[in-house]
Amino acid sequence: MNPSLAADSDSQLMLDYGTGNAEAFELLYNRYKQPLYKFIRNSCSCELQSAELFQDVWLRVIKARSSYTPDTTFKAWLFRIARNRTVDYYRLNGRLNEATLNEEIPIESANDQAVEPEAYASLSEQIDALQQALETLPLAQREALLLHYIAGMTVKEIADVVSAKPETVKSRIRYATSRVRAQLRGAS
Amino acid sequence: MNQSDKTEDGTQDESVLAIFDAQNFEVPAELDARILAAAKSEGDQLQASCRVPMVPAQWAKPLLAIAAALIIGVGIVPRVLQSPEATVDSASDHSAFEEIPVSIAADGLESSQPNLSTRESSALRSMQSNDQAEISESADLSQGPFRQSNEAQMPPALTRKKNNALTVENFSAATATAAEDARPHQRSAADWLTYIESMIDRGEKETAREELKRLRENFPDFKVPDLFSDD
Repeated sequence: MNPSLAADSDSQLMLDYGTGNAEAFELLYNRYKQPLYKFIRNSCSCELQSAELFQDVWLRVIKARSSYTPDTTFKAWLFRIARNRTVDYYRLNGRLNEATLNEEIPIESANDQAVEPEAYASLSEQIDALQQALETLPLAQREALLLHYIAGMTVKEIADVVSAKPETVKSRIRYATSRVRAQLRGAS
Repeated sequence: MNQSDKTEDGTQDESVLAIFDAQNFEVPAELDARILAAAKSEGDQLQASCRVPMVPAQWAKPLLAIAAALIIGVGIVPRVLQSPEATVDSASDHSAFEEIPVSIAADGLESSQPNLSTRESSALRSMQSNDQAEISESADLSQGPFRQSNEAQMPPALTRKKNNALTVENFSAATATAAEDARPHQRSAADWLTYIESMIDRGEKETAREELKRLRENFPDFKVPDLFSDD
Protein backbone atom coordinates (compact mmCIF):
# COMPACT_ATOMS: atom_id res chain seq x y z
CA MET A 1 0.00 0.00 0.00
CA ASN A 2 1.31 3.42 -0.91
CA PRO A 3 2.12 5.25 2.39
CA SER A 4 1.56 8.69 0.89
CA LEU A 5 -1.94 7.62 -0.13
CA ALA A 6 -2.74 6.47 3.38
CA ALA A 7 -2.21 10.00 4.65
CA ASP A 8 -4.60 11.48 2.11
CA SER A 9 -8.00 12.76 3.07
CA ASP A 10 -11.08 10.77 2.15
CA SER A 11 -12.06 13.26 -0.51
CA GLN A 12 -8.62 13.18 -2.06
CA LEU A 13 -8.69 9.40 -2.14
CA MET A 14 -12.06 9.47 -3.85
CA LEU A 15 -10.75 11.97 -6.39
CA ASP A 16 -7.75 9.70 -6.96
CA TYR A 17 -10.05 6.79 -7.53
CA GLY A 18 -11.94 8.95 -10.01
CA THR A 19 -8.79 8.99 -12.12
CA GLY A 20 -8.55 5.19 -12.00
CA ASN A 21 -6.43 4.61 -8.87
CA ALA A 22 -7.97 1.43 -7.43
CA GLU A 23 -5.57 1.50 -4.51
CA ALA A 24 -7.18 4.72 -3.30
CA PHE A 25 -10.54 3.05 -3.32
CA GLU A 26 -9.25 0.12 -1.31
CA LEU A 27 -8.03 2.51 1.36
CA LEU A 28 -11.39 4.24 1.49
CA TYR A 29 -13.20 0.94 1.59
CA ASN A 30 -11.12 -0.29 4.50
CA ARG A 31 -11.76 2.94 6.39
CA TYR A 32 -15.51 2.84 6.06
CA LYS A 33 -16.59 -0.71 5.45
CA GLN A 34 -17.07 -1.54 9.13
CA PRO A 35 -19.12 1.49 10.24
CA LEU A 36 -21.13 1.35 7.03
CA TYR A 37 -21.90 -2.31 7.40
CA LYS A 38 -22.84 -1.80 11.04
CA PHE A 39 -25.11 1.09 10.08
CA ILE A 40 -26.89 -1.00 7.48
CA ARG A 41 -27.00 -4.08 9.66
CA ASN A 42 -28.65 -2.08 12.46
CA SER A 43 -31.08 -0.49 10.00
CA CYS A 44 -32.02 -3.75 8.40
CA SER A 45 -32.31 -6.79 10.61
CA CYS A 46 -32.04 -9.29 7.74
CA GLU A 47 -28.42 -10.28 7.19
CA LEU A 48 -28.91 -11.13 3.53
CA GLN A 49 -30.65 -7.86 2.81
CA SER A 50 -27.93 -6.04 4.69
CA ALA A 51 -25.25 -7.61 2.55
CA GLU A 52 -27.17 -6.69 -0.58
CA LEU A 53 -27.63 -3.10 0.54
CA PHE A 54 -23.99 -2.83 1.56
CA GLN A 55 -22.82 -4.03 -1.81
CA ASP A 56 -25.24 -1.77 -3.61
CA VAL A 57 -23.99 1.27 -1.73
CA TRP A 58 -20.38 0.60 -2.67
CA LEU A 59 -21.28 -0.10 -6.28
CA ARG A 60 -22.98 3.27 -6.38
CA VAL A 61 -19.84 4.84 -4.99
CA ILE A 62 -17.82 3.12 -7.71
CA LYS A 63 -20.18 4.28 -10.43
CA ALA A 64 -20.21 7.84 -9.12
CA ARG A 65 -16.41 8.05 -8.99
CA SER A 66 -16.16 10.43 -11.95
CA SER A 67 -18.95 12.73 -10.82
CA TYR A 68 -17.84 12.98 -7.20
CA THR A 69 -17.05 16.50 -6.05
CA PRO A 70 -15.75 17.24 -2.56
CA ASP A 71 -18.56 19.67 -1.77
CA THR A 72 -19.18 17.71 1.40
CA THR A 73 -17.12 15.18 3.32
CA PHE A 74 -16.78 11.74 1.82
CA LYS A 75 -18.24 10.24 4.97
CA ALA A 76 -21.38 12.38 4.72
CA TRP A 77 -21.68 11.54 1.03
CA LEU A 78 -21.24 7.83 1.64
CA PHE A 79 -23.74 7.67 4.48
CA ARG A 80 -26.25 9.73 2.53
CA ILE A 81 -26.17 7.07 -0.16
CA ALA A 82 -26.56 4.40 2.49
CA ARG A 83 -29.38 6.24 4.20
CA ASN A 84 -31.26 6.71 0.93
CA ARG A 85 -30.85 3.04 0.08
CA THR A 86 -32.14 2.09 3.50
CA VAL A 87 -35.21 4.28 3.05
CA ASP A 88 -35.77 2.66 -0.35
CA TYR A 89 -35.50 -0.72 1.29
CA TYR A 90 -38.14 0.17 3.84
CA ARG A 91 -40.42 1.56 1.19
CA LEU A 92 -40.10 -1.59 -0.88
CA ASN A 93 -40.91 -3.73 2.11
CA GLY A 94 -43.91 -1.63 3.12
CA ARG A 95 -42.39 -0.83 6.47
CA LEU A 96 -42.22 2.85 5.92
CA ASN A 97 -44.85 5.52 5.89
CA GLU A 98 -44.79 9.18 6.76
CA ALA A 99 -45.88 8.46 10.31
CA THR A 100 -43.02 6.10 11.07
CA LEU A 101 -40.56 8.33 9.29
CA ASN A 102 -41.43 11.48 11.20
CA GLU A 103 -42.65 10.10 14.48
CA GLU A 104 -41.18 11.93 17.40
CA ILE A 105 -41.30 10.86 21.00
CA PRO A 106 -42.13 13.53 23.58
CA ILE A 107 -39.12 13.89 25.74
CA GLU A 108 -41.25 13.54 28.85
CA SER A 109 -42.26 10.06 27.87
CA ALA A 110 -38.73 8.81 27.58
CA ASN A 111 -37.00 7.56 30.62
CA ASP A 112 -33.98 9.78 30.85
CA GLN A 113 -32.46 8.22 33.89
CA ALA A 114 -28.85 7.19 33.66
CA VAL A 115 -28.21 3.47 33.61
CA GLU A 116 -24.77 2.30 34.44
CA PRO A 117 -23.36 -0.46 32.22
CA GLU A 118 -22.76 -2.78 35.15
CA ALA A 119 -26.49 -2.63 35.80
CA TYR A 120 -27.10 -4.32 32.51
CA ALA A 121 -27.23 -8.03 31.95
CA SER A 122 -24.51 -9.77 29.99
CA LEU A 123 -23.06 -8.03 26.94
CA SER A 124 -24.83 -10.30 24.47
CA GLU A 125 -28.12 -9.59 26.20
CA GLN A 126 -27.41 -5.91 26.04
CA ILE A 127 -26.70 -6.18 22.32
CA ASP A 128 -29.98 -8.02 21.80
CA ALA A 129 -31.81 -5.40 23.85
CA LEU A 130 -30.22 -2.67 21.79
CA GLN A 131 -31.33 -4.39 18.60
CA GLN A 132 -34.88 -4.65 19.87
CA ALA A 133 -34.84 -1.04 20.98
CA LEU A 134 -33.67 0.08 17.54
CA GLU A 135 -36.53 -1.81 15.89
CA THR A 136 -39.05 0.06 17.95
CA LEU A 137 -37.63 3.45 17.02
CA PRO A 138 -39.10 5.55 14.25
CA LEU A 139 -36.84 5.56 11.23
CA ALA A 140 -35.90 9.24 11.57
CA GLN A 141 -34.70 8.69 15.12
CA ARG A 142 -33.03 5.43 14.36
CA GLU A 143 -31.00 6.78 11.48
CA ALA A 144 -29.98 9.81 13.52
CA LEU A 145 -28.92 7.58 16.39
CA LEU A 146 -26.98 5.21 14.15
CA LEU A 147 -25.22 7.97 12.25
CA HIS A 148 -24.26 9.56 15.54
CA TYR A 149 -23.06 6.47 17.39
CA ILE A 150 -21.79 4.25 14.61
CA ALA A 151 -20.57 6.67 11.94
CA GLY A 152 -19.39 9.14 14.56
CA MET A 153 -21.03 12.05 12.77
CA THR A 154 -21.78 15.35 14.41
CA VAL A 155 -25.28 16.78 14.61
CA LYS A 156 -24.48 19.16 11.80
CA GLU A 157 -23.19 16.39 9.53
CA ILE A 158 -26.26 14.29 10.21
CA ALA A 159 -28.49 17.27 9.48
CA ASP A 160 -26.75 17.52 6.11
CA VAL A 161 -27.23 13.83 5.38
CA VAL A 162 -30.90 13.62 6.31
CA SER A 163 -31.75 17.12 5.09
CA ALA A 164 -33.11 18.34 8.43
CA LYS A 165 -32.38 21.16 10.79
CA PRO A 166 -29.61 20.54 13.33
CA GLU A 167 -32.03 21.19 16.19
CA THR A 168 -34.37 18.55 14.87
CA VAL A 169 -31.53 16.08 14.54
CA LYS A 170 -30.37 16.82 18.04
CA SER A 171 -33.85 16.15 19.41
CA ARG A 172 -34.10 12.90 17.50
CA ILE A 173 -30.82 11.69 18.89
CA ARG A 174 -31.79 12.55 22.45
CA TYR A 175 -35.21 10.91 22.15
CA ALA A 176 -33.71 7.81 20.61
CA THR A 177 -30.97 7.59 23.19
CA SER A 178 -33.48 7.86 25.99
CA ARG A 179 -35.63 5.13 24.53
CA VAL A 180 -32.70 2.81 23.98
CA ARG A 181 -31.50 3.39 27.49
CA ALA A 182 -34.91 2.58 28.84
CA GLN A 183 -35.00 -0.60 26.80
CA LEU A 184 -31.61 -1.61 28.08
CA ARG A 185 -32.68 -0.99 31.66
CA GLY A 186 -35.62 -3.21 31.08
CA ALA A 187 -33.30 -5.94 29.88
CA SER A 188 -31.12 -5.77 32.95
CA MET B 1 -28.38 16.39 31.12
CA ASN B 2 -27.66 12.74 31.22
CA GLN B 3 -24.80 11.84 33.52
CA SER B 4 -23.10 9.68 30.92
CA ASP B 5 -23.26 12.28 28.15
CA LYS B 6 -19.72 13.03 27.07
CA THR B 7 -20.33 15.26 24.09
CA GLU B 8 -20.62 19.01 24.18
CA ASP B 9 -24.14 18.95 22.81
CA GLY B 10 -25.13 16.28 25.30
CA THR B 11 -26.27 13.81 22.66
CA GLN B 12 -23.91 10.92 23.21
CA ASP B 13 -24.31 8.29 25.88
CA GLU B 14 -21.13 6.37 26.57
CA SER B 15 -22.99 3.30 27.80
CA VAL B 16 -25.00 3.13 24.58
CA LEU B 17 -21.86 3.75 22.58
CA ALA B 18 -20.12 0.88 24.34
CA ILE B 19 -22.86 -1.51 23.33
CA PHE B 20 -22.72 -0.34 19.74
CA ASP B 21 -18.97 -0.89 19.80
CA ALA B 22 -19.48 -4.35 21.16
CA GLN B 23 -21.64 -5.37 18.22
CA ASN B 24 -19.79 -7.90 16.18
CA PHE B 25 -20.98 -7.26 12.67
CA GLU B 26 -18.21 -8.29 10.32
CA VAL B 27 -18.38 -7.70 6.60
CA PRO B 28 -18.52 -11.09 4.85
CA ALA B 29 -15.20 -11.84 3.15
CA GLU B 30 -16.87 -12.61 -0.19
CA LEU B 31 -18.47 -9.17 -0.15
CA ASP B 32 -15.07 -7.58 0.38
CA ALA B 33 -13.63 -9.50 -2.54
CA ARG B 34 -16.56 -8.77 -4.82
CA ILE B 35 -16.62 -5.04 -4.14
CA LEU B 36 -12.87 -4.59 -4.42
CA ALA B 37 -12.82 -6.57 -7.66
CA ALA B 38 -15.57 -4.39 -9.08
CA ALA B 39 -13.70 -1.27 -8.02
CA LYS B 40 -10.46 -2.51 -9.56
CA SER B 41 -12.16 -3.48 -12.80
CA GLU B 42 -13.80 -0.05 -13.12
CA GLY B 43 -10.52 1.65 -12.23
CA ASP B 44 -8.60 -0.34 -14.84
CA GLN B 45 -11.17 0.50 -17.51
CA LEU B 46 -10.88 4.16 -16.64
CA GLN B 47 -7.10 4.08 -16.81
CA ALA B 48 -7.21 2.27 -20.15
CA SER B 49 -9.55 4.86 -21.58
CA CYS B 50 -7.29 7.64 -20.26
CA ARG B 51 -4.24 6.14 -21.96
CA VAL B 52 -5.70 6.53 -25.45
CA PRO B 53 -7.05 10.01 -25.92
CA MET B 54 -9.74 9.74 -28.55
CA VAL B 55 -10.26 13.44 -29.08
CA PRO B 56 -7.44 15.88 -29.80
CA ALA B 57 -7.05 18.77 -27.44
CA GLN B 58 -8.93 21.96 -28.27
CA TRP B 59 -5.76 23.87 -29.01
CA ALA B 60 -4.58 21.25 -31.50
CA LYS B 61 -7.63 21.41 -33.74
CA PRO B 62 -6.70 24.62 -35.65
CA LEU B 63 -3.18 23.28 -36.21
CA LEU B 64 -4.57 20.02 -37.54
CA ALA B 65 -6.89 21.92 -39.87
CA ILE B 66 -4.01 24.02 -41.21
CA ALA B 67 -1.85 20.93 -41.68
CA ALA B 68 -4.65 19.18 -43.55
CA ALA B 69 -5.15 22.21 -45.83
CA LEU B 70 -1.43 22.35 -46.58
CA ILE B 71 -1.26 18.64 -47.36
CA ILE B 72 -4.22 18.90 -49.68
CA GLY B 73 -2.87 22.04 -51.30
CA VAL B 74 0.66 20.76 -51.82
CA GLY B 75 -0.34 17.22 -52.71
CA ILE B 76 -3.34 17.62 -54.95
CA VAL B 77 -3.14 20.94 -56.78
CA PRO B 78 0.10 20.11 -58.68
CA ARG B 79 -1.39 16.77 -59.66
CA VAL B 80 -4.47 18.43 -61.01
CA LEU B 81 -2.38 20.92 -62.93
CA GLN B 82 -0.29 18.12 -64.38
CA SER B 83 -3.21 15.89 -65.27
CA PRO B 84 -3.40 14.77 -68.93
CA GLU B 85 -6.33 17.01 -69.67
CA ALA B 86 -4.60 20.13 -68.39
CA THR B 87 -1.15 19.48 -69.78
CA VAL B 88 -0.11 19.32 -73.34
CA ASP B 89 3.37 17.96 -73.52
CA SER B 90 5.46 19.05 -76.38
CA ALA B 91 5.30 15.77 -78.34
CA SER B 92 1.58 15.20 -78.29
CA ASP B 93 1.03 18.88 -78.51
CA HIS B 94 2.83 19.16 -81.81
CA SER B 95 1.34 16.08 -83.38
CA ALA B 96 -2.07 17.23 -82.33
CA PHE B 97 -1.72 20.56 -83.93
CA GLU B 98 -0.21 19.06 -87.01
CA GLU B 99 -3.05 16.64 -87.47
CA ILE B 100 -5.97 18.92 -86.91
CA PRO B 101 -7.12 20.01 -90.33
CA VAL B 102 -8.38 23.35 -89.22
CA SER B 103 -7.40 26.73 -90.40
CA ILE B 104 -8.38 29.95 -88.85
CA ALA B 105 -8.72 33.12 -90.72
CA ALA B 106 -8.14 36.35 -88.91
CA ASP B 107 -11.79 37.06 -89.27
CA GLY B 108 -14.86 34.93 -89.82
CA LEU B 109 -13.88 32.24 -87.39
CA GLU B 110 -17.18 30.46 -87.25
CA SER B 111 -17.67 30.39 -90.97
CA SER B 112 -14.30 28.78 -91.47
CA GLN B 113 -14.84 26.30 -88.64
CA PRO B 114 -18.17 24.65 -89.27
CA ASN B 115 -17.44 21.76 -86.88
CA LEU B 116 -16.36 23.83 -83.94
CA SER B 117 -18.63 23.91 -80.98
CA THR B 118 -19.91 27.11 -79.49
CA ARG B 119 -17.40 26.77 -76.67
CA GLU B 120 -14.53 26.40 -79.09
CA SER B 121 -15.71 29.35 -81.05
CA SER B 122 -15.99 31.52 -78.00
CA ALA B 123 -12.56 30.41 -76.87
CA LEU B 124 -11.18 31.30 -80.23
CA ARG B 125 -12.87 34.65 -80.18
CA SER B 126 -11.52 35.31 -76.76
CA MET B 127 -8.08 34.31 -77.89
CA GLN B 128 -8.30 36.53 -80.89
CA SER B 129 -9.26 39.60 -78.94
CA ASN B 130 -7.07 39.14 -75.88
CA ASP B 131 -4.03 37.15 -76.76
CA GLN B 132 -3.15 38.25 -80.21
CA ALA B 133 0.13 39.72 -79.04
CA GLU B 134 1.15 36.56 -77.27
CA ILE B 135 0.29 34.46 -80.28
CA SER B 136 2.45 36.57 -82.48
CA GLU B 137 5.28 36.02 -80.03
CA SER B 138 4.84 32.30 -80.18
CA ALA B 139 4.59 32.21 -83.95
CA ASP B 140 8.27 31.68 -84.34
CA LEU B 141 7.94 28.33 -82.58
CA SER B 142 5.58 27.07 -85.24
CA GLN B 143 6.81 25.56 -88.44
CA GLY B 144 4.08 26.63 -90.76
CA PRO B 145 0.80 28.37 -91.19
CA PHE B 146 -1.20 25.41 -89.98
CA ARG B 147 0.80 25.15 -86.77
CA GLN B 148 0.52 28.80 -86.20
CA SER B 149 -3.18 28.80 -86.71
CA ASN B 150 -3.62 25.83 -84.38
CA GLU B 151 -1.40 27.39 -81.79
CA ALA B 152 -3.65 30.33 -82.07
CA GLN B 153 -6.61 28.01 -81.64
CA MET B 154 -5.48 27.22 -78.14
CA PRO B 155 -7.60 28.98 -75.60
CA PRO B 156 -6.08 31.88 -73.72
CA ALA B 157 -5.54 29.63 -70.75
CA LEU B 158 -2.95 27.54 -72.54
CA THR B 159 -0.44 29.59 -74.41
CA ARG B 160 3.02 28.58 -75.44
CA LYS B 161 5.55 31.17 -74.51
CA LYS B 162 8.99 31.67 -75.97
CA ASN B 163 10.61 29.53 -73.34
CA ASN B 164 8.42 26.64 -74.49
CA ALA B 165 6.46 26.59 -71.26
CA LEU B 166 2.73 26.57 -71.05
CA THR B 167 1.04 29.13 -68.90
CA VAL B 168 -2.24 28.27 -67.29
CA GLU B 169 -4.48 31.25 -66.94
CA ASN B 170 -7.92 29.85 -67.37
CA PHE B 171 -7.81 26.31 -66.21
CA SER B 172 -11.36 25.18 -66.79
CA ALA B 173 -11.53 26.48 -70.33
CA ALA B 174 -8.12 25.08 -71.08
CA THR B 175 -8.87 21.55 -69.96
CA ALA B 176 -11.98 21.33 -72.07
CA THR B 177 -10.60 22.75 -75.28
CA ALA B 178 -7.17 21.21 -75.07
CA ALA B 179 -8.66 17.79 -74.57
CA GLU B 180 -10.71 18.12 -77.68
CA ASP B 181 -7.85 19.53 -79.66
CA ALA B 182 -5.63 16.64 -78.64
CA ARG B 183 -7.74 14.20 -80.64
CA PRO B 184 -7.12 14.98 -84.36
CA HIS B 185 -8.25 11.56 -85.49
CA GLN B 186 -11.69 12.35 -84.19
CA ARG B 187 -11.95 15.23 -86.59
CA SER B 188 -13.76 14.72 -89.78
CA ALA B 189 -11.63 13.24 -92.57
CA ALA B 190 -13.57 15.35 -95.02
CA ASP B 191 -12.50 18.52 -93.22
CA TRP B 192 -8.94 17.35 -93.29
CA LEU B 193 -9.23 16.69 -96.98
CA THR B 194 -10.66 20.14 -97.50
CA TYR B 195 -7.69 21.58 -95.72
CA ILE B 196 -5.28 19.57 -97.85
CA GLU B 197 -7.04 20.80 -100.98
CA SER B 198 -6.61 24.35 -99.79
CA MET B 199 -2.89 23.69 -99.34
CA ILE B 200 -2.70 22.39 -102.87
CA ASP B 201 -4.52 25.45 -104.07
CA ARG B 202 -1.94 27.61 -102.31
CA GLY B 203 0.78 25.62 -104.02
CA GLU B 204 2.07 23.91 -100.88
CA LYS B 205 2.11 20.54 -102.51
CA GLU B 206 4.87 18.92 -100.47
CA THR B 207 3.16 19.81 -97.27
CA ALA B 208 -0.14 18.67 -98.73
CA ARG B 209 1.36 15.30 -99.60
CA GLU B 210 2.56 14.83 -96.06
CA GLU B 211 -0.83 15.81 -94.72
CA LEU B 212 -2.51 13.44 -97.14
CA LYS B 213 -0.23 10.67 -95.97
CA ARG B 214 -1.21 11.33 -92.40
CA LEU B 215 -4.87 11.47 -93.37
CA ARG B 216 -4.59 8.03 -94.92
CA GLU B 217 -2.85 6.70 -91.85
CA ASN B 218 -5.48 8.08 -89.55
CA PHE B 219 -8.44 7.24 -91.72
CA PRO B 220 -7.48 4.09 -93.62
CA ASP B 221 -11.11 3.47 -94.61
CA PHE B 222 -11.65 6.95 -95.93
CA LYS B 223 -11.66 7.06 -99.67
CA VAL B 224 -9.23 9.75 -100.68
CA PRO B 225 -9.58 11.11 -104.23
CA ASP B 226 -6.54 11.63 -106.38
CA LEU B 227 -5.61 15.19 -105.56
CA PHE B 228 -2.36 15.23 -107.45
CA SER B 229 -3.63 14.01 -110.80
CA ASP B 230 -2.23 17.09 -112.50
CA ASP B 231 1.35 16.23 -111.43
